[in-house]
Amino acid sequence: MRRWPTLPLNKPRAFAAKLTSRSIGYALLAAFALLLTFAPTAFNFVRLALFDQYQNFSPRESRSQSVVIVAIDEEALAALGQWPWPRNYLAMLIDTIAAAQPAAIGLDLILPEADRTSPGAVAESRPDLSLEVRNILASTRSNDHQLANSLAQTPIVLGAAGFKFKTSTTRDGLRTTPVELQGDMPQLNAYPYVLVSLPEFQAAAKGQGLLSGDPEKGIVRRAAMLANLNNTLTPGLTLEMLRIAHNIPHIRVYANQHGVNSVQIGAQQIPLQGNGEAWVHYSRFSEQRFISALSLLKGEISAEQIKGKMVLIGLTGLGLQDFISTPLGDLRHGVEIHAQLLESIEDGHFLTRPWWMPWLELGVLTAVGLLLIYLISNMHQINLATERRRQERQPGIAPKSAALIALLLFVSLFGSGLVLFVKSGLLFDAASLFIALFCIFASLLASVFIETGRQRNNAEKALQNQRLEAAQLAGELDAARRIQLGTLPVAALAFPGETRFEIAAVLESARQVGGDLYDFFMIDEQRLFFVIGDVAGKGLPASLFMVVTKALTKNGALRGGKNIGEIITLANLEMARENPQMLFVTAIAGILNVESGALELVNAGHDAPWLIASDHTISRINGAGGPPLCMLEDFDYPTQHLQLNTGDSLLLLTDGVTEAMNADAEQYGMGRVNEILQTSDPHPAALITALRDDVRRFVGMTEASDDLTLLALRLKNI
Amino acid sequence: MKVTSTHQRNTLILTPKGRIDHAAAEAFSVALTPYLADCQSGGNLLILDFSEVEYVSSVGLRALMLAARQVKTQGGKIAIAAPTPLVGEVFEVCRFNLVLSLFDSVDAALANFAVE
Repeated sequence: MRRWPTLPLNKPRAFAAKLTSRSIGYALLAAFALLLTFAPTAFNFVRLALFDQYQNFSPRESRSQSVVIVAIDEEALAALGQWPWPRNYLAMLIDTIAAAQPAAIGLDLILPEADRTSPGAVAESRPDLSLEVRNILASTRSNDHQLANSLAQTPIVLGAAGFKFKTSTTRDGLRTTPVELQGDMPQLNAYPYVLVSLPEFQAAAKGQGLLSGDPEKGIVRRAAMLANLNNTLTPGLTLEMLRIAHNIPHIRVYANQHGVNSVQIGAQQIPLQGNGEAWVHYSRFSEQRFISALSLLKGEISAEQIKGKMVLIGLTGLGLQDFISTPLGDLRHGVEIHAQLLESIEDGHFLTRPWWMPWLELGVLTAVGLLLIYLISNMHQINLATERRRQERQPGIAPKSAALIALLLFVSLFGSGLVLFVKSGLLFDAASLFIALFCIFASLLASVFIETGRQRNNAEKALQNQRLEAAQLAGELDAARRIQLGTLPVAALAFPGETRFEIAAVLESARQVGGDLYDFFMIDEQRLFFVIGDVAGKGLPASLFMVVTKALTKNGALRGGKNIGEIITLANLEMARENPQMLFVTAIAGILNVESGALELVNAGHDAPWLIASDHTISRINGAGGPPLCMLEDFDYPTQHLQLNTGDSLLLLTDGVTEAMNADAEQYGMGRVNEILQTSDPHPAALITALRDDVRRFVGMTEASDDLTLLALRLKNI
Repeated sequence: MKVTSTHQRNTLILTPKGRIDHAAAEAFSVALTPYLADCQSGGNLLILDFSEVEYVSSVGLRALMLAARQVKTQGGKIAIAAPTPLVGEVFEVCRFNLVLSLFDSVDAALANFAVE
């Protein structure tokens, strides 16, 4: 069977598909890069969640314990009455704290209105009291005045709140110490209006700071350390407390084209976000940070707990609603934001996301994205190659290793994010990158699967077509072979009732179409013509040449040539005239007079025939002959005359017998033919069967490389 | 098919080895092709030393015949020398001396070329 060349897979389309999957990858990469650059908040939901997880995994360790919170808590409210307290209570609290010599006090409260419980205010609100009493009350020092006095004695910072809109109580400025700005005015949270405490408190306090901490999705992660208050650079409560605690005349802010870079307070440099905010790295909730205002007022707290520390006064009572959600949990007190920030600054620990971080992320996205695209589209090719080699039904191993590589990339992405957070307090957004890269990865993998499937389908279709074509061709060749074999006479049926001689012949084709031939027929009542031949060549041309040879010899014989030499000479002449393939035929032809036993033979380059005499002596008939037919156009073939006797057999064979090869590349050879002839029944049919069977046994499973033809005849009775 | 070659003046002597049968004829033709191209009028004379060829089948004969025709068209000269008795018998049966010059030995072939 001819081996059909495997049709190549559809290469241009495979290339186009590779291009397409790649370009989808590139397009996605570009889209995500643009999104990350121009709409970074699009990824906030994962980015912030990741940052929260970083905090959960590695919360801040508070080292300096430099901050305490004096909590106006449930117990204080229960003992001293509802909020707001009379200002003289607050004054008492502040005086008590101040006596313990804190570094600074921060008031996480705003006191915008006058105290209605001051004696003068009481006098005005109670016309039922006697004038005398009212005069005494009116001349008594007001609660506010008392608080202002206390404020003036202590290093205290008042809180204020920035507003985007105007209300009846908002002002458009507050008294602050000037901030020294090095660089251009940065883009900060801007508030045109501010809610401030009474002017006399502002005048008494050492400083004022903004209390803004804007939650994102309900969680406070950042606090404004600096804000733009009606075009004035204004510090937050935290910064101002630090300034007071370190007794520095003013805060210095360094800004550049990326916004705020850092803030300097004395020797300390505090890095900030470009918009003046600071990321809060929360520590776990700690009771120890809190001192109850009631315990303090009762004198139950030693001065050591407060001395030299920064003290925040804030409301923690449940009814006062000052709760925030943090990455470490809900229901943390609002005042804690300032405590957390102060403490981490004092510890020299900062959580930052510098201006270059998004660019770094963009770079990582591009690099890893390109790597993924490269790896997977190449794996795609490897996969297809594997596919072709193995003809696998299952997807190749390449997608698995691609997934493994992607997994490693993603793990190292998150790993490096965590390492940066823990080691350097840097907020690296691995989550957005993960989403972008995962989309790219998934799309590439999907197109690999789709493409692999498509190509497998194509390959299967191609294979099916090949088989179909092969089957069609095989059918045609089979038909050719049937025609070829159909022209060969069948010995058993050729001469019914013949008593003068026996004849048998067999032709076994090596592959589909062979080049061997035999023929026999009666020229007249007495003369039997026979021929055996072997076209030097295989396949269809040899087969056609064989048919031509057979036809021309028969033609020559029936036209009545003088002798066999002349018949073959004429046939050779005609055949040689048109022989573009340069084929030739070795042949032996003969005419036997079946009544007299006279035999004419001509050998055209063929193996000498075998003669098995009636007395079982075996010999070869050498002698007169010529070159193979078609080798020399004008050769005059001589006729050899012999005489057969009753019981003599003649055996003709082609080299398909003698050259038949077994698995050890051994050839059957003349010797084995001779052995079979020695032992076999000399009747033609038996002789041929014995010889053919022995050749079959000899070659075993080896595929025959050449046609095998045997022709035997025996003279029975003269 | 293994073919070794030696040069003697303007004559190239090729010595194929083994059997030139159905299995080897194609390889023999291929091995012969490059030498045949040189064998032309005024070019190399070609002697095929058959002393190591054990057997030639009909397909082998065809290969030799094709070689002979090509050389003849090119105006070159080719001869077969020193065939073994078995191969010599095949040549004789086929009257191959009418297709190609046959010599008993390489020397005889060389001498013949020299005379011409």
